[in-house]
Amino acid sequence: MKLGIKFFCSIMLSFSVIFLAGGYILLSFFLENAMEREVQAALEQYQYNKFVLQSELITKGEYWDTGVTKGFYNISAIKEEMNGVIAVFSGDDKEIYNEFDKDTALEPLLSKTLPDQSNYQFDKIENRTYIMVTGVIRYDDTKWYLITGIDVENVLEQQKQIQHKFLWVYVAAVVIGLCLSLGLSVFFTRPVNALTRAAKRIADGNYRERIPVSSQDEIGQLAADFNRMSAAVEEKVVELSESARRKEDFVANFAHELKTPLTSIIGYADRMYQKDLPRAEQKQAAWYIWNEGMRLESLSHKLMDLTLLNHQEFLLEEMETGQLLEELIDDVKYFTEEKGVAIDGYAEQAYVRVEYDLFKTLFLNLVDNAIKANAGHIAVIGRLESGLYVFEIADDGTGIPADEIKRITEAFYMVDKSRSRKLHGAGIGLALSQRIAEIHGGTLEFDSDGISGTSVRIRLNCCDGGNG
Amino acid sequence: MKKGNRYTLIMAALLFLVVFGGWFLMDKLLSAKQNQILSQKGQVAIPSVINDDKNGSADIMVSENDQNDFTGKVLSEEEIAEVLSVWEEGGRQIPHEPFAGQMSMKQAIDKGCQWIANLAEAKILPDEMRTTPFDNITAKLFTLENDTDIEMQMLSMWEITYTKNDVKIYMRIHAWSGEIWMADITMDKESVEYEECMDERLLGMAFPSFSWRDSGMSAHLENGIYYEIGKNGSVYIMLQRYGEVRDNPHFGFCLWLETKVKNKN
Repeated sequence: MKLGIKFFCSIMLSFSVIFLAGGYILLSFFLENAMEREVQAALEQYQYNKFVLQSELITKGEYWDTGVTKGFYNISAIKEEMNGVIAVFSGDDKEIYNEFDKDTALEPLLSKTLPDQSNYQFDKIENRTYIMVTGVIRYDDTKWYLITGIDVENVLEQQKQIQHKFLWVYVAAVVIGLCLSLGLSVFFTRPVNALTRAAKRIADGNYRERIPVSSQDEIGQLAADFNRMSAAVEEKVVELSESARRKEDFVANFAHELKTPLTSIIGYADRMYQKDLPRAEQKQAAWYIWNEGMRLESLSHKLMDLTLLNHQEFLLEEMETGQLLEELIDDVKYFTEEKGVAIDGYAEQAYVRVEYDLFKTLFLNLVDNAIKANAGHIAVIGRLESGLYVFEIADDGTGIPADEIKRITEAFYMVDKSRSRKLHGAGIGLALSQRIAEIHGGTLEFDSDGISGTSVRIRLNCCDGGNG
Repeated sequence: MKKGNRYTLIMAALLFLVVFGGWFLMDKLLSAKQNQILSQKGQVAIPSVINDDKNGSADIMVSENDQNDFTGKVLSEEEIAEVLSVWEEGGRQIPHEPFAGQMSMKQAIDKGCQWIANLAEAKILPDEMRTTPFDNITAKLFTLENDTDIEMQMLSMWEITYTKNDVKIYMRIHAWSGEIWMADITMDKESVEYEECMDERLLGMAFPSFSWRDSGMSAHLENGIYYEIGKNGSVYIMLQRYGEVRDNPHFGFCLWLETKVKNKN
């Protein structure tokens, strides 16, 4: 069931129940109160009438009593001073005076009346409701019953009129309540519907969908949280798309890097198989096959390293930077001397956490790149900078064009493809270096004008020295 | 039918039932309530403020033997002033049977008759008021509903109307003390000595038992009212004579007690 309908029904049900219960309580309270007042008034009216009759009995005495009882005198002479409808009976239940309808049975009232009390009850006489008060009047030997009937039908009619008016008020209240509760339902479910529509649009692929936050209540909070969620979804989708694109590029580049040497290998092998080649040509073909095979082997090793880096946990150990640099330079010196490149370095004292073999691989890759870029001298400086430790490796090689710097850490990307392939490069080395820097919690930055060398900065977190 | 639609239908039916059926239920309950109220029967021990009164509060009228039992409480000027101030404030009058210690209807009527007879003997009122029976006497006993500390039986007053020929006397007798506190006499023709009787003498005859009356302080007002002040200054004893009106000859006078002087017409 829709939320709006639930709202509407709940409000209307509550409203009706409360209104009707309140109406019943008020109306029954009014009736009770009104009737209590009428009873009290009837008792007082009876008392007045009794005083009038008593006065006559006292002033005129037995003379009057006998005269009235025998019908010589009529009580109607003093009736003007009395209230309501009255009847007077003698002590032996004989009717002396009666204003009630002939069919009204009054005798049963007399039998219940005791000398020291007045009785009252409600009676219906000729379709009108009366409060009948009965009591005894005595003077000397005279005993009379006095019955006073007070008409309260007006009170009951008034009650009916009030009830009738209340019905109209109730109808009006229900109509107003219907409109109000409908309006409220629409008002409160509107933001929820907006949320639903937005969720549908996001599900259909529109990840930029947001909804306006127009209140500070729970609905506003829900809208704000929904927007945060859709921003997170959008970010994730972009990230996943980017990742998927990178994977696609990786596979495409990998397939391409694989295809090129395989084409040469198959081509030269086929040539050797198909034809009887002179020895020199055979040697040349074999050399091409070997060269391409070496490239494939290098590619395979580097891919293996990249894969392992993504799936292995590395334990970092604290090392003093001077010692670290010294060991790194010692380890690569054989390589640089073989290539005729000078390397030196200086490191400001500090402590960093590294996995030595991994860091050496990174260092070696950077040095190798510098050598491939025809550097004659490589300078390595270690220094503290803004709370981090920076190893800067600067060469005087050919440099990297500025517009290609941002792509050089992509797998298989090569600035100079022919030069790299010639040196058995596959374009994975810097991707590997980038990953190693990330494993150390650091970053790699490249700076070059494309002409006079390249500067690579490895930023690492410092740690408190000597704590291991 | 879908589950949601089924619930919607059920809810709509329930709503219809409550909104419309609720009205009829309320109507039925109110009818039942009305029938319950109208089937009530009750007994009221003679309308009396003092519920534990067992003596003299029955419908049994005071017999001749009881007449001697009423002695009447003597009230001081301050006590009279207290009761008067409540009556002057007004309130709902509650009729009731005499409480124990209050004068009965017969005693009140007799008191009034005696007072009238005394005035008739002094020629203030026509002589026939002394001798022949009244055409009509009506007596009623009231107390006043109020918020004061004064006991309600102290506030009770007998209001008695005596009628004979053209003379009409309206009297108020304090039921506890048995004293007349107000008498309003009107008649169509003057009686013999009425016009010549001095105000002081008239008040003396009307209120013979008020010993605190004799303070010596009195005054005449412009509208013809004469008053005397009680010794402690709490009660004023008032007298107003009615003059002749051209088209409606109207004689008589009114005597009454009050706690402050108001302009009376």
